Amino acid sequence: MKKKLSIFSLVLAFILVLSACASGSGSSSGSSASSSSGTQKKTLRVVDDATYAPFEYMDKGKIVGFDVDILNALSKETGYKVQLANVGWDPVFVELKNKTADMSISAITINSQRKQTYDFSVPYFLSTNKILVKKNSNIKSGADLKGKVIAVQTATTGQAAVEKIVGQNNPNVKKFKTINLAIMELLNGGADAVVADNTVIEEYAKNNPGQNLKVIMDKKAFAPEFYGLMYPKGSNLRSVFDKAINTLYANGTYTKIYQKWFKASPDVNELKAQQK
Amino acid sequence: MIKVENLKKTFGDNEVLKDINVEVKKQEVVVVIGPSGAGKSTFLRCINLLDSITSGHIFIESVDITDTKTDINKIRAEVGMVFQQFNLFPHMKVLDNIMLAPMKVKKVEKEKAQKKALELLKKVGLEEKADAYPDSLSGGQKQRIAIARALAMEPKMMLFDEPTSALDPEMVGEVLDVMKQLAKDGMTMVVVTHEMGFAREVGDRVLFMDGGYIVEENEPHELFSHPREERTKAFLSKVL
Amino acid sequence: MDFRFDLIWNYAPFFLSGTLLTIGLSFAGILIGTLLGLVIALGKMMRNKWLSLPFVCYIGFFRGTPLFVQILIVHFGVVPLILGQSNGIVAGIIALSLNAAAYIAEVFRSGIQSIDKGQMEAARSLGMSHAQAMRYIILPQAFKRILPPLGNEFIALLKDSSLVSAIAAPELTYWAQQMGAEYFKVWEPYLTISLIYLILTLSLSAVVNRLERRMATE
Ligand SMILES: Nc1ncnc2c1ncn2[C@@H]1O[C@H](COP(=O)(O)OP(=O)(O)OP(=O)(O)O)[C@@H](O)[C@H]1O
Ligand SMILES: [Mg+2]
Repeated sequence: MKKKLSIFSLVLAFILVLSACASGSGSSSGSSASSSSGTQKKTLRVVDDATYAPFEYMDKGKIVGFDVDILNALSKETGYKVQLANVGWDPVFVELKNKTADMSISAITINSQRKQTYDFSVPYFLSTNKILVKKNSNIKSGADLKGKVIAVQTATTGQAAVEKIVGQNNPNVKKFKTINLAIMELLNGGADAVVADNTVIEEYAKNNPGQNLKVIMDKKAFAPEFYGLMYPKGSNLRSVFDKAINTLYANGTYTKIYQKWFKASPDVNELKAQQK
Repeated sequence: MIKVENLKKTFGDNEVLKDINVEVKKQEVVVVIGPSGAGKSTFLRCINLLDSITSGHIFIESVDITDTKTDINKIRAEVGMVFQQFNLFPHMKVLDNIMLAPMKVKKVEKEKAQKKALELLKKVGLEEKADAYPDSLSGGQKQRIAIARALAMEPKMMLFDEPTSALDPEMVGEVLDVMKQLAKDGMTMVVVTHEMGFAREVGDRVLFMDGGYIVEENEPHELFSHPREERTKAFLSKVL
Repeated sequence: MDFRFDLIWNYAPFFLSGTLLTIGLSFAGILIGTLLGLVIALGKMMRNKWLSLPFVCYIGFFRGTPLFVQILIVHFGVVPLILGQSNGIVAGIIALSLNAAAYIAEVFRSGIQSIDKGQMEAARSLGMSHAQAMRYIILPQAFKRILPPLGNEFIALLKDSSLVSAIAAPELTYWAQQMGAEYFKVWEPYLTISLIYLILTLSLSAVVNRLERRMATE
């Protein structure tokens, strides 16, 4: 998904980390992710980096976003109370390693490197970059992008994926601050393709059939990424939450939340397929 | 040479010139006097259309300059004008002030224009100021340069609007001397001035204007010593 | 604070090309904006109200709407219409010129109107046409007088050129944004370009100052 890390959010994160350091140290420490055997389920400390809209970001002092809604739904499902703390990206990993937090939901991509140190839930989100081109375009794959003018959004995985193909800071890559502008550039002939997150691109192509656009998927060039809940190694919360995630898939709650934030339908089957 | 018929000029509701009829012959020097606000400047400015006229006709050498078909720039090139405030071009040296219009309007070659300009500077006694900027000159010198600038276009007639009024008294003489010489050389001139001595000495005719009319006109000695109209008498008693 | 000069060094070639484009955009904007501004100033001063109206509207529009929006309109609306496709650099030059022209027109107008009426009358009385009087008498004097405010407009234009980064014209600010996004750094890119902008604006005002001194008559 949109791993947008704008300068603004960086500054915001910096301020938040500072304030977290100043105020948060005394209150919620000392929790350990060990026993949950008693009837009284303990309150989980969940950490995130609230600078990734629309997954988790600050709105009028409150953390909101897709991940937050998922977390609350899971809390209801499992009976665990949760306390979400915005600690910043790097501290998320430190806290889980030190087991000062029980869990993190922060649009974290599941990869083998991280799996060595942490545990993950089953995937709860699928992110992949796709190519948006005009219907008559001769671009058919990621490799065809070489030599073409490509519009992307600055600091997204889309930009990174494209630059992996054509080279970093290639002058043919036009980077815009918002995805809208990148798509406008394509429509006005200033670019041959837009590479961005599937949700955005598919949504746009679907809602603007008159523009004669098509979406190209290239799984080799743009590998799909799956997000998961991250736990300290050996956490016993895993199975409970995995079950709850599947319940959300089954009862439609997941789709409802997904549509609320992305105005599109999720590919639940693809997500479930990953569990095998 | 200049013939003005039924000239009227209004600024909004203010009728400044009410019915002016004048004729100026070749080589004649006509002096215009009258109280402030009488319309003297307006009259002069109408003659080269710096102010547009409301009705009536003005002929210069039988050409009706109020006719829309007349090329007004050509007329103005033949009618020199000297202003109370000199209006020299401050961003140009004296020589360039004089050479500009002949070169740009009459397309005179540079060498010729320069030669002529130096002659004129000599005539007004300011050769040594050719390379000076106007701001470094005294008022009297500025006005003499302004006269030279107008003469450079070789006008058929010259209009002067209170050319000495903005000068310190000791500088009035040098400017009047230049004007007297011009008159002697046979230039046709219309001069608005309060210098009665000048009017007496070189004026062929004096017009007394008041309230938008030419109230009285006569040969200078006659008008100054035997004014017929009450208004003329009242005005002269104040200035003489 | 660890200030990563090495990261700036990595981006030096981009800052260099960005600086060149910033200079190019500003130079073109100043040139076209000044010429157009003069035309618009003269247009606005026409006595006929109907003829001057378009120029009045022009100034009102370009001074009254955000430059950022003008850039988007030109980039996505005007340039594709002319060239058949969008082009960030062309759009940047057009938008900056059109915008600067509105401000420069007002500077010209105030300069022209500050010249004594007697200058125009003296020129006309010598037989010069209105255009000749403007060209040889009024404008040279007005220009000398408006050089300082004109210099301010030039400097504003140079800094405003940063807004075209929004349409991916790869000038200085664009590369600062890319560097910031790549390394998650704020101070390294933005302090660097601030320094470059400062050098550019100081050089520009030095040029204007020299011009001013050269035009001052003794
Ligand atoms: N451009 C103008 N607009 C409106 N009114 C004007 C204009 N020029 C002159 N007037 C008016 O016309 C009248 C005559 O002015 P004019 O300058 O012709 O007088 P004058 O006889 O030259 O007086 P002075 O001796 O003060 O120079 C005055 O009432 C003046 O206010
Ligand atoms: Mg007067």
